[in-house]
Amino acid sequence: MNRFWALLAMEVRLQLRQPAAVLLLIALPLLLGPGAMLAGEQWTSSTEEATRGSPDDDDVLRVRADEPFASWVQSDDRLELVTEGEVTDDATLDEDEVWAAVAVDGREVTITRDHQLAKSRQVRKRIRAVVVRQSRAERDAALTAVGLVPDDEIWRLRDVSHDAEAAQGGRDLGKLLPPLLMFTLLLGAVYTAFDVITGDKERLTSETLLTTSAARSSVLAAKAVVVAGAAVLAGTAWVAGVVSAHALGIMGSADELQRALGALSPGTVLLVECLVVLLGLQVAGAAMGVASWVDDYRSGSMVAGPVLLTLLAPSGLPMIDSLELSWWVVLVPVGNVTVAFRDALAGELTALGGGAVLLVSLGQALGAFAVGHRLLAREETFTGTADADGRRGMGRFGPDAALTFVIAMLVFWFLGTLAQRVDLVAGHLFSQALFAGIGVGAVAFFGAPWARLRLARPRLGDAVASVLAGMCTSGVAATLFLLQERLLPGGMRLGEQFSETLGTVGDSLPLTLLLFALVPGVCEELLFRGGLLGLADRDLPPLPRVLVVAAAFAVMHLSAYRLVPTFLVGCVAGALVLRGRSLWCGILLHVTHNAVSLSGPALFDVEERDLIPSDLAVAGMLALALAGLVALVGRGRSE
Amino acid sequence: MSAVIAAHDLVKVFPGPEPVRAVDGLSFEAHRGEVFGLLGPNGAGKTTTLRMLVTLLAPDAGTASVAGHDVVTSPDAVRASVGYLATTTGVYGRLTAREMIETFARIQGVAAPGKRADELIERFDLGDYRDQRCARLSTGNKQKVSIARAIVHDPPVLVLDEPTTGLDVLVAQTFLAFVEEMREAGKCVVYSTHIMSEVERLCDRIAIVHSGKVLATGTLDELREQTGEHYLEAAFIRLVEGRR
Repeated sequence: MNRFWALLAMEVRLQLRQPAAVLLLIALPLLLGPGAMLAGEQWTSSTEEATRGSPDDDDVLRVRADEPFASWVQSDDRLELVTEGEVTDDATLDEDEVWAAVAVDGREVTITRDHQLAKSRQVRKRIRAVVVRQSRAERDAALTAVGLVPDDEIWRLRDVSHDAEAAQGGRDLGKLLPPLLMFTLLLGAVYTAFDVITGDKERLTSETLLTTSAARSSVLAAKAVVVAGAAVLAGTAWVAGVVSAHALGIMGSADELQRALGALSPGTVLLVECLVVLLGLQVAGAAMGVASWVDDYRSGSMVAGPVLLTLLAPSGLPMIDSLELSWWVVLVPVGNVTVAFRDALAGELTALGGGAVLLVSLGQALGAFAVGHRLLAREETFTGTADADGRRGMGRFGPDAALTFVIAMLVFWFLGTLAQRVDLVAGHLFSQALFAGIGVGAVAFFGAPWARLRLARPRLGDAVASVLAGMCTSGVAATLFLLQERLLPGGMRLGEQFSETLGTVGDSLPLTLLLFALVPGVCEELLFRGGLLGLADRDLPPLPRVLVVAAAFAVMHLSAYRLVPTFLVGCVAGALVLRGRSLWCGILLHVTHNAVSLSGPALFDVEERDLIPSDLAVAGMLALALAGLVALVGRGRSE
Repeated sequence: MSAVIAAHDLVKVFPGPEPVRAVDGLSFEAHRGEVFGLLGPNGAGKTTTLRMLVTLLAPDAGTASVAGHDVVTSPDAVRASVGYLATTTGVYGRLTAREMIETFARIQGVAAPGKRADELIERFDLGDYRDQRCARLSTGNKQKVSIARAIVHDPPVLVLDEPTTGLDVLVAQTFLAFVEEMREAGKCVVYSTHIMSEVERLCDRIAIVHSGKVLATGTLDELREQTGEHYLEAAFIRLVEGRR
């Protein structure tokens, strides 16, 4: 035990001797909390100003035509629809036509049509975004007033009580806080893990430590405690920063922020600290695993980006209002704690739900630690797989591919925002062109042979099989969407948003297919199955390579709802490209998949509906056919 | 005389697309008060062998014991008996010279770590640098700290892997004198190198290692007799080339 304390004291001392660690673990988190909150407040204020009209025009709030309709609506607005004429299906509205008015807290609000809305069907769906925040009686009255049937299935919406201000404040805090906090926890854990584990390898001090008489478990435990402690310390500093700034009155003028910070009672702060510890343990385990896997800082820095994103993603789950603490949410690492935290602050967390989350998340934290510890305990972690010369060489873990992915991700995020603000179609084409450019450019930049792109023409049989596989993935993905809707309500809204996007290019199916099937099929494949899969060739065996690239492909679509279906498409595309030794197999699959997914509803007037047993049977058969097609591709090749 | 270190048919294979058999049935014994040299070209398997002896790597086949403890079944006891110096100094740059020695004295379970650290600082003439961070020390002084760290628990066995790499002539001479001193103190020293002059000066017995196997073992005179060459270098070349 004394040796463990000696090891721990040394690791702590080593961390405290780095100015960068003190900055990252204490100073930065202290400032980051208030900074992020202030930025959020600034954004909220400017949005309100932009969308609610001039400040001196108190009684009438005008919404600019180029603003997305729902963005200015506050979650606590008491809205009542007042009709100015009946809206019927497929009635095209004229430019700037005023079709409805909304009363907000007794004040008249005039809404002009968003310029991207061309069809009344789409307008009607935007109304839903408003009425979701009304009481049932108000909502039904409003719907009746605009000629819609209140008990229509599409209006089956959740009622929200607007009376409990504190509960709403807690709920807002529960939404705002976890993603910001996760960033800090990840920063603390990943930085420290890389220093105490990867750094020991790179500085060659690991052998010094591991040849002492201290048990290896003590060495590993001391490192694990330091990593977890760093995460919790950074998280606690972050919370301290937010609480202090709030107490000093530095923040809090925007409505939502004010409400959220108003919920910061001592009990809440204690709950936040529990969140910090639970998330910190999970994050620390994951960081230890990654730091053990990579063999130097350079590889580590490449891997850190995707890892951060992957761990950060579930912390956004509380932002989905419709998401409740169901059994599957309880099983999602990070997401379970954050959703329970949101519900706890809103006073909606049941003892059963809280207990389940506590048990599962503790189990997951211990599991993450166990996996991290297991990776850390591998012989190769500290000594490397020494080659015949006794030199280190532990594999490169696809750092080039990881770097390409991070760059593409950043570009995509930037352009995604740009596209929404400027022009959806132009933005779409621009970002697709960049995908292709990044894919090809990465191969050139890293000096890999062009053959890695696998641009060779496929065999005819492989090409046909790829097209058929694209049809199958489309069917399987449609069923997955229906299945998902039961677990994560709201996924179907994606289809609506997409139809809005398509609305801007008119009703031309060929043009739609060109823009949204052919272009992404070619450009996205050049990046993922071309550049990324090609660059990872030398580092990973085929199966992990396909899975990692498919995961990157799924994450790139930036939607929790599309994660599983796009991962499936990515896996099949990767398998086809590797087996067929041609990128064209992936392109043919992707184009066909998108084309069938887009044209199916348009040609056959497919209605939104619930999943029925025959869907599962059909999807099962399609999946079998898919497996057969993948097996057929590349079969009989002479090599 | 019973062997302090006994390695029998050690095998280590590094997996990969083309697995490397780094150590391939290597055997030798080393005794108390003896400097045993492992002499071989780069890639011969010397470092891998030493790493198995200090329990950093587990052998895939064969057995090895150090001070009576098996390297696989009693790794903690083996490490308690060994002081290990790798090809690099392996010091923590953010600790001072004294902190480094004292911390490792604690980790090794030394009863009075502060006192022991002061003793070693005086012995290696590090007094002027005791409070300087290791990152700022010269290579020679770093190596002194590293030696002090390796013997802080007064182990009966020293395993030294090309310890003079990167040292200038003067520091290297000091180091060689230290090894001789250890032999006089009755320690068992395993000394890996490819520098012939060091072997000739220090080693009581030598194992010529090539491609993971021991080609010959014996004293300098025995190797001369075996190969018919007067100089060790010539004997070494004859043994290695005879194997090719």
